[in-house]
Amino acid sequence: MEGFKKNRKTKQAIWKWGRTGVQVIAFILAPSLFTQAFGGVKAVAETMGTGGVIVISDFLIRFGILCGITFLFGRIFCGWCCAFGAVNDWIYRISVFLQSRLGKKLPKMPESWTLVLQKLKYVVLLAVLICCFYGKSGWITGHSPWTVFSLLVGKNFRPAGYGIAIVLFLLLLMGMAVEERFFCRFFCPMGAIFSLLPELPFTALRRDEKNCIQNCSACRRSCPVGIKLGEDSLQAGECIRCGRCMQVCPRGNIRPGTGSKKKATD
Amino acid sequence: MRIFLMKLLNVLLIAGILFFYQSYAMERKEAVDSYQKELAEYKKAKAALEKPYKNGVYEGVGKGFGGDITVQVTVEDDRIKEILVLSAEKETPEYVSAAKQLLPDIVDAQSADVDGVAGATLSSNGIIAGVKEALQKAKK
Repeated sequence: MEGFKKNRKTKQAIWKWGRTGVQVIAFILAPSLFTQAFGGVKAVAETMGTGGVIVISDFLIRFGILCGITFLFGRIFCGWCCAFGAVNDWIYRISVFLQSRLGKKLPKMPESWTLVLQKLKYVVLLAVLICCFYGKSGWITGHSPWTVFSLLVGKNFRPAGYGIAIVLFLLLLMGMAVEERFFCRFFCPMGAIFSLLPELPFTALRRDEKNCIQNCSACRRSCPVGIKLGEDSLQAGECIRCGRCMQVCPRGNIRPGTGSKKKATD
Repeated sequence: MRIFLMKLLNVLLIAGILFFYQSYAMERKEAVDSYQKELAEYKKAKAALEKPYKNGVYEGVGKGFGGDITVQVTVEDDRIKEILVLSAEKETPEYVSAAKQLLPDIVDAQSADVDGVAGATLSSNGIIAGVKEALQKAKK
């Protein structure tokens, strides 16, 4: 039993640091992918607002590629490559670490709140698209916390005129310290789009409920986006394929794909 | 599976909307472009009417009181800029000087259809005729 537990802990650690490694590489190589891809979408809305011909811009192509990847593999971009998502992860991890070190615990958001707030990102998406349609895309960029992030990453931080954006960014950082993937779950317009895309079933994570320990909920507790892994549900659009549930399940009940029962490997 | 199909349908619906929008936008662009083209052609023709003269220096000869009067018309920036009387040998100098008063009138009117100077009718007519001949050469 001890060997089994140690084996599982090691696998969790490997998986966690493996994903962190990929996130770091993506952060260095393509820290603006998320905002560029969404920029393509905003441009389409703006164009449609003027009745102009939609142009297939470079940004729109990136958006298309990310959508294609999401269709094939699920939201692996969100879980493994998005620089802003990585910031979410790392702020939370630092916060958890500091909390345990200082012996203090920050309040946790009740589940009823999270279920409602998850829908907020669709409102954000709609609001941004409507603004762009009516030619206010510059206003959005001027007040967006993503712009603050881009300036910081580009080592080009000139705070003048970005007061509101900076305040929003700081508020988001505070939220990220309290709730895992705070921005991604509640505010990200790109995430809203991805969660609405059809995903091929081959990488979807499924739970073999018959084999579960009663009252276990290890998978749900480890999930950064708060999914109660169950049958085909709309919640599945939230999954960012971090793989934690797979690693944490004491019975190895969680597997990707169409769920042909495999032998437990540990 | 049902969720997958719902989402797929949703995406196809959005793709359909975008497709129809794009064909509308392209039609609109074609219409705007052809209108713009017509407008540009109309403006060009109008400008040609308003600026009938080519830039350059042109000479013309008209019959004055005593003989030929040669004038030189300078067209610059599509407008009559200056008119000089090159020779009016057979004219009486005082009459030529008087007739020259209509030269600024021609520049103002941008045309030789001006009134002659009273009392120097024939010299005026000679100058006007010369300018008209020069302007004929200057026409586009």
